[in-house]
Amino acid sequence: MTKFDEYINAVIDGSKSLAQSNFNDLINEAEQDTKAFIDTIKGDLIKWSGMLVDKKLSEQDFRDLVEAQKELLKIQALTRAGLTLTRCERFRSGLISLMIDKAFEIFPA
Amino acid sequence: MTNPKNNKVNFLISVIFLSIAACAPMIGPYSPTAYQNATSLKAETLALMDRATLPYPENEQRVQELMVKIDAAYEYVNGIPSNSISAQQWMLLKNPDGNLLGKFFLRWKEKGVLSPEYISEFKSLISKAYDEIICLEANKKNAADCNK
Repeated sequence: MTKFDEYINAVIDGSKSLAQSNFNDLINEAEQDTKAFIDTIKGDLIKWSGMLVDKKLSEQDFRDLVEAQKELLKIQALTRAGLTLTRCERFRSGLISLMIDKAFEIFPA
Repeated sequence: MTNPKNNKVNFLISVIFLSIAACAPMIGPYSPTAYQNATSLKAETLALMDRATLPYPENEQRVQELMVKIDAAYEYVNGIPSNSISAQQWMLLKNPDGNLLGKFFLRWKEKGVLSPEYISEFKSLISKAYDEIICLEANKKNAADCNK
């Protein structure tokens, strides 16, 4: 095995654990967040419907709150997209460090 | 004399390294100012919303001053390279024609005063919107679970 092969293998091995530590829980967390948000929406809708019946909210109030919640959902989706990118960015930074460290380790000056 | 094989290895390493390093960041960096703006404006916004049981004309100046601060926070975030996701969040929150702060202040202006129930429910949504912005900013620094 050439030194270069050794280097590439070391980077690939390192990148696997790097990917695992950065992305392992991503899908799980996204599912949990989505479920929590749906539960909140359901809870709010039940509560607001009750307030509408009790005349504590007008029809316009009710509509405003539902529309505001729709907007909040967009903000939450942006957060989710941003969190995925922060993980990608951390992975990329980690990969660059790994490549430099392994190069110094395998190709000593 | 330089070994041609070594040259090839060096070239390949350089290409791989540069191809990764040269890309623009995928998301803007953590900004303590953006974080501070979001947390302090959250408190200020919620406090002002509480005043919506009082006549709007008495509070119009406060509303305008708050919106100027929120506009400044948006402009700051929007000026950070690769930060469009955070900027979009602020835009949704502050949009005068939108369904969050824009709608709340519009209703207050139209009706003069708002009911405590409406204020309380709307505040909860605005609070969550700020929490989303704060969560994303915090995660740019370190991975953090915002629900804990």
